[in-house]
Amino acid sequence: MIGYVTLGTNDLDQARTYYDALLGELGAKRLIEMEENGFTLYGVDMTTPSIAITRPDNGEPAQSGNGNMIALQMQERAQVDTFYQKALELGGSDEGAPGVRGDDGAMAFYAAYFRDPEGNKLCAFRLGPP
Amino acid sequence: MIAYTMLGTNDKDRAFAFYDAVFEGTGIKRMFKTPAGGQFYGKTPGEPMLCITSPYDEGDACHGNGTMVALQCETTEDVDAFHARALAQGAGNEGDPGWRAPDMFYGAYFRDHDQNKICVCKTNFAAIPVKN
Repeated sequence: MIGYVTLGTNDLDQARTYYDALLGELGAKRLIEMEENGFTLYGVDMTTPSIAITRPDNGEPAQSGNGNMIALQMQERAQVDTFYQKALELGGSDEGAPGVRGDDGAMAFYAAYFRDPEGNKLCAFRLGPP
Repeated sequence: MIAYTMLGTNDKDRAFAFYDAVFEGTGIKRMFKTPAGGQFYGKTPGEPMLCITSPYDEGDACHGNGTMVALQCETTEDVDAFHARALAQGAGNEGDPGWRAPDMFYGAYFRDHDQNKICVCKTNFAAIPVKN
């Protein structure tokens, strides 16, 4: 259903450095790079839904929006912690430390929230046991 | 990698009605609601989903610039029909259906009532060799 999701950037070099390191943690790498608007697609392969950073198509400044968020699935809670730490170390900002949201148990939602250096909100989560 | 992505709305009822109509016939349906009343749409559990929701901070929803969700279709005809359904529901046109990259990317673009930008596309990305 979802092919890819784009996030806007006003500083392509910084955004590439950030997402190279962050999404590299998940085995994703640059799959497509376009000269025109700096569109850079990150994914693990060409058939898995991916994330792209890009300068906006309309030439106006990029803006993060409110209510928008990309949620990335982790394999275990420890990976949520590591990924979140990495996101902050690389220059992201905290939007919610790792922890169980709702009830703990077999279908527990363990999540952490952060923003990239330009304010785009992301979530890393593990659904299920630790 | 992506489990789901969220888009903000200031009018959930209007947004749900819009996406219900736009997704009709695509196999994308309402999955479940969030505690805050956001609506997840998807095809099957395990496939990445789209959630339409009011913002977590309870402030006004605001579309991003540079932010876009691209939804895949099986055929170019599906892209055409999807785009037409969106415009019929009052979406703003951001680009008529057409090949943006020959034999590789057929896309159409629109904005929902909250100005969130959506792309519908038929891609042959799988044919692109991945450099290691």
